[in-house]
Amino acid sequence: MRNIFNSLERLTELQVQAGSNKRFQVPSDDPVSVMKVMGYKALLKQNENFANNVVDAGMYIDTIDSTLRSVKDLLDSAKAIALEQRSATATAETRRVASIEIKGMISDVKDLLNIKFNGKYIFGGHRTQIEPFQEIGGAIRYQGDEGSVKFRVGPRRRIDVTIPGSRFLSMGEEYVDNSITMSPDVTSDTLLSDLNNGDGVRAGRFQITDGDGNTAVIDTTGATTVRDVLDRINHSVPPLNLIAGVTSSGDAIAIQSMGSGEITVTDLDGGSAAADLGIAKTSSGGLIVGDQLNPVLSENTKLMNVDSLKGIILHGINVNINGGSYHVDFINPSYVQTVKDMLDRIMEAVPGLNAQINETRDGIVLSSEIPFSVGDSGSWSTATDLGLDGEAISHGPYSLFGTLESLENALVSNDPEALDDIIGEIDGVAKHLLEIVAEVGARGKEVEIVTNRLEDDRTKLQRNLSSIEEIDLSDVLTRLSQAQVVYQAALKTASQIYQLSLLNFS
Amino acid sequence: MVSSTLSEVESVLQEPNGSGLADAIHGFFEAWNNLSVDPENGSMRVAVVEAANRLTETFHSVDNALEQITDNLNNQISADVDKVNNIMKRISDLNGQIVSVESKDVTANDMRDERDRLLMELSKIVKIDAKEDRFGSVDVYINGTNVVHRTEVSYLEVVNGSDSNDTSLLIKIDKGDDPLELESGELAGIVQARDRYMKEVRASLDHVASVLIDRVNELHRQGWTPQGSGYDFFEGDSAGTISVAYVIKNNPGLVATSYDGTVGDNSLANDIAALSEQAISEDDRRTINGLYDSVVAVVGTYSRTAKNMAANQQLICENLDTKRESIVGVNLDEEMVKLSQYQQSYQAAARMVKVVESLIQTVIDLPAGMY
Repeated sequence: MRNIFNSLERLTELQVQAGSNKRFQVPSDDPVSVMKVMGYKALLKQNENFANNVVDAGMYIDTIDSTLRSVKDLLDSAKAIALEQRSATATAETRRVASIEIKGMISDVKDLLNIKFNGKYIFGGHRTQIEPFQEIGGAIRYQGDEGSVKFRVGPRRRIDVTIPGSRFLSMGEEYVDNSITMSPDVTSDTLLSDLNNGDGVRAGRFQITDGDGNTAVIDTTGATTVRDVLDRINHSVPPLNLIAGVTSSGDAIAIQSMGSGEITVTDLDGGSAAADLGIAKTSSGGLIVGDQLNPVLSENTKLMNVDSLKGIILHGINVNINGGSYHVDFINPSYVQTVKDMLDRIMEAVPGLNAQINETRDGIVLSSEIPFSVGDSGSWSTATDLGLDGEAISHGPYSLFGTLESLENALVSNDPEALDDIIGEIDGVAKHLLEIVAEVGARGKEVEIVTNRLEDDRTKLQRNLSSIEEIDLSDVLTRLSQAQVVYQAALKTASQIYQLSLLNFS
Repeated sequence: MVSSTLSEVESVLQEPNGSGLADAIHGFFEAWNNLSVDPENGSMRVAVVEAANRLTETFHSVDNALEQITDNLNNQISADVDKVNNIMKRISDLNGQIVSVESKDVTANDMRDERDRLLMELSKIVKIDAKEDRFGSVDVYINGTNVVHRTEVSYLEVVNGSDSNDTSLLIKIDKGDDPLELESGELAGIVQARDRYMKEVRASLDHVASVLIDRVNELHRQGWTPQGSGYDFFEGDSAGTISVAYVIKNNPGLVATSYDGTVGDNSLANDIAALSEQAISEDDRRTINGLYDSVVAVVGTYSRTAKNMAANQQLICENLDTKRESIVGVNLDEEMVKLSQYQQSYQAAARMVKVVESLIQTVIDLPAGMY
């Protein structure tokens, strides 16, 4: 009798499974799996929230991006106008007309930055409910704060979805420029493009005649370093009886002939490769010493090859910034070898400080958005040696609206001399605007990455969930029909056994 | 009994497929998440309060249902104790009757059968020992205490738990001091279901509620709104008492999203929404949902174990029953054979009577002049 109940129970269980498509109905069906299922469901729910947030975040960031690009376009037009009105052909009248145009642009920029998205002013910091830029007393004033709104896109990940408008007000930077010219030696690793103060070497063919009268043609096409060129000279076809190398003073290329006759280097095809390399010369003494090649500083330049640093051990520098004092150690954990090593070491050690090669590529420059100073560390004179000691000089800060307003004023007052400074200011503002655009672009990338991640996670979670939670229908149906057969068998045998009774015979 | 109680608890929790507490907790944090991306939107605040109300109501209804189950268990204890007392009374009555009948050298089989049946019924409810004395009366012991002695009965009684918070019932013997510790039987099962499983489940649910209340309040108290600051979000400290703070319920504008009261600042909302993903403490790395999930898993495990044990017990009982039947019971075939034997003997005897009768008739029918 129990057998019949058992198989009936089993049958019911399978029927419920098949009907609900779920492996379990109550926790006791499989407590461990139920807990897993609940865990996965929680993660899916979180994933859903993050996915919703990241879609929103993407829309905010896109809006910021396109707004800033429009602002940049307006700024470019303003600069074009400024350049035009500085020129000799401009008159007081054209400047007056231009000033009206600029006034319109200021208002356009203001309107652009007062954009409201999803009920928020996205350039107002946390003060999302009032217009961030308002004209008060003839000037544009910022009414927001410095907060930035963050959306949750992961358990520990939040993305900034707004840019506080205050960042358009103080677009300046502070920097300490290297006051000692850092001229590196020519080495075989020096890039051809770094030679001649960064002008480089034009590729081309030149002909060398050695002291024995052998002549070979050298083609510099495809050569990138000094070594490439030297190799081509030293391994020319036909071979030349000479050796080309870098001079011991490290500032030029020299060619020493083994023969006693005259050696000549001549550019071919009207090119200037040899001239650029400083070796387009004739020498009767069997030795050509080329002209100085003046390479510029590059990230790969070895510090020991820099003239001003020869024989000096770089110990480290001290930087005071943002109320903190930071020591940059050039010796530990390893001695800085190249310019890049040094720049990286500085940026790693000092938060908020940017270190790079300067524009003329003959020194390095440290910059930051806030004031700082650099000094020697202890008894060492490294900062002095590098020419980096001193207070940072501030440039700006420029204000987006302030700059445009002074442009307008200069045009109204017909003051072409002032325009020079203003054009510089516009460049500074544009540079910072592009930095912000790049930052927003990076956020856009992050949104993309997070979106893909969430999508992947969701797929995985769902797969895991259904592999635990859902039944394998064909399996269940097979077992269902088996259970049916068993149940029928149990019933049949039972009924047959119970029929057997002596009562039927008497 | 334990098994069916735990099944009931499972159905109250409505996991994993229904819309139970797990769902309500998700809903609560989802509402905070939605508020975090749109803190300026008043309707999002209302939605948070609504989700929180739903959450607290779910806590209450689960808690009520669990309390209901406890109450039912208490009722069942009372009913069972009544039944025990009744049976003991009847056993003692039968003791008297059997002794008096058997003193006349007659075996009181019917009464003994009835008493055996009662003893069996009694032993289903509580574990008993029974001894028959030489006069034919049976003494019954529960936990070593003599509860039926000849015709005297020490009745069981239910009394309220010692302290006022303890609503559970204790079983004592005849105003004894110590509550009865039952080992097995239906009554022991009920008491165990109530005192072990129900208490544990309710305590862990209270823990879930209190962790949620504490974690949310801790953050929300630091919040500022244009209308004020420093408000707790939840009131209460357990599954039964959790509720949205009265002031917030009446004024969703007091739902804070920021630490400084700036309209667009969503940092506090972010932090509260993130609670759903964070470990509840340094020592316990589970999330709030995870904490509740383990309650469900524990119930499931207990319930499964109880079901398996019940099934095993059932099997053992049935085997024993079969054995008992094979000793005490009759074999139907054997009885049938005997029956037909007796039937045939009876028929044979009847035939014999018939022969005798016909003989007598023959005698009677003899003509008169034959003597």
